[in-house]
Amino acid sequence: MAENFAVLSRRWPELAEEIEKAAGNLPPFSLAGLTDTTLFVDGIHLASAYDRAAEARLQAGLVPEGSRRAHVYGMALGDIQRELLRRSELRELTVVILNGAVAALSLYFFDHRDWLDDPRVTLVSAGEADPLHRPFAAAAGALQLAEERAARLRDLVCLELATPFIRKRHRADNPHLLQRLQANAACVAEDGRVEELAASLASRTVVLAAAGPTLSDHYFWMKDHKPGPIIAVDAALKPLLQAGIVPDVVVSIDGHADVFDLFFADADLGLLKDSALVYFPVVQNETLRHWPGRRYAAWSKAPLYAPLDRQYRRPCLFSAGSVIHPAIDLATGLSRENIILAGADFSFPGGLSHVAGCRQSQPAQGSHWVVNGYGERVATIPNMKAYLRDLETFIGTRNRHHFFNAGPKGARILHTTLLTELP
Amino acid sequence: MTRTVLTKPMICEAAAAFRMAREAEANESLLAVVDALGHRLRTIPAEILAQLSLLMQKALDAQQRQDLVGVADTLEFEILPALQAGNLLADRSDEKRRS
Repeated sequence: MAENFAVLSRRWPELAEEIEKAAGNLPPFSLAGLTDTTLFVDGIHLASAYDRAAEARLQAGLVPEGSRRAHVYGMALGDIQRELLRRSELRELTVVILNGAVAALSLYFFDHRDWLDDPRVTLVSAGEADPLHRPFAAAAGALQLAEERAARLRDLVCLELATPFIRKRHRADNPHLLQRLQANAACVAEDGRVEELAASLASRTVVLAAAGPTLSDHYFWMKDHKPGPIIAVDAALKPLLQAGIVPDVVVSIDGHADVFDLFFADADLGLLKDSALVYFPVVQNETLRHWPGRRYAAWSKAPLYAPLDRQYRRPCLFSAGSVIHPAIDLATGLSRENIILAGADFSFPGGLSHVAGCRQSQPAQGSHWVVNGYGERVATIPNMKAYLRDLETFIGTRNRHHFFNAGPKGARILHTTLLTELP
Repeated sequence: MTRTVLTKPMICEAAAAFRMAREAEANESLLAVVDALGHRLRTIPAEILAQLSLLMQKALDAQQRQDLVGVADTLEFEILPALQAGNLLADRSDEKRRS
């Protein structure tokens, strides 16, 4: 509607230009609706086709009553904005557009003047490095239609929304894990602390080998021009050994019953007598018993480990569900300057789940996507997106180090530089 | 615990989880609805079963393409009324008796 664009151009002229430009490349769409009218864009309903107002009330409920400021992620059809702006105590509402072309469609077919002209509203488009602002509400349809530069923000929103459910799933009183802690107690008591690793492994550059499909792209320099110690996640161990690369440290944190069989059982562990194992005490005892080299017990701030933390009083390693998290925290403890991430794909480049040679490697088709180093979408799954965003948040807090992403085919990792030559 | 009893709150909560983009929770809730419906299959009259099958497929198709609002709408405004019309929902007292 021209009237929408009149308000937009008056209040946010640059954004108006951006949206008009995006309107030149529209996705497939139709107007849809049964008792309510909505937009159906690329197979996704932007809002309810039955009761938009009730849906908006539900979604707006995420912003606590009495909030003076709030963000809305996804412009959608304006319903959440209208619902929140009814609150007299709300002073500032920032609406973040997640897809310019979808916004253009919405502005064309629906009247947004009521909330667009509200002086409390600021309208912006998502930026690649935008932090998540709280409190917020989110339009589910708009999240699913986020474009590439909004992908990271979309993932941060989804991760925040999923957190209560994830926390319920990971309880401190899991009897199976408590049993593991008990079984490994003797090892934990006698094994070293990760801080001791710095004495022998501190280096200007540390390489972190994850188990993504592109790890094998980097074997040649990891073997022949190794710039520093290699920390490998457990899933990358066998592929590395098969490539003739012996990591200096292997990190294993998972309490699953198949980890030893998958990653260690038929590896030539004799090659690792001079290597260190850093483990969380929920791992299988077989892994600890079969490790030929030095072992170092560590844990995260998870409630499960609170008793160990009280007993041993040592710094925790960062962990947010993936072994790459404590591995990178360990890397920052060993590196004086550079950390190179190899195979940290968080996606399925080439349609594979893991690097060849990893027992878990298989053809993979994710229903979700992230942006790779070429700016293209690459398939992934929600868990991997969450691990990626948590990794980025961690890296963002580590100003003393320079982080490199060894290759462009996997997920682009914020706060890293693409590796063009070894440091 | 697998819930084999289909109730209105169960369906509304699943729909709400989709509208709130709590995807993992929503998918688990949808699976519980599918499971609970599966347990009732033999008791559902043929004409209602045919309609429900189409609607469940519609919801699953929407889920496949990540149309969260689409799934929510199908659950709340199409499947729920069909279950209510067919008297296929347990009330809360049924649920308490079974648990």
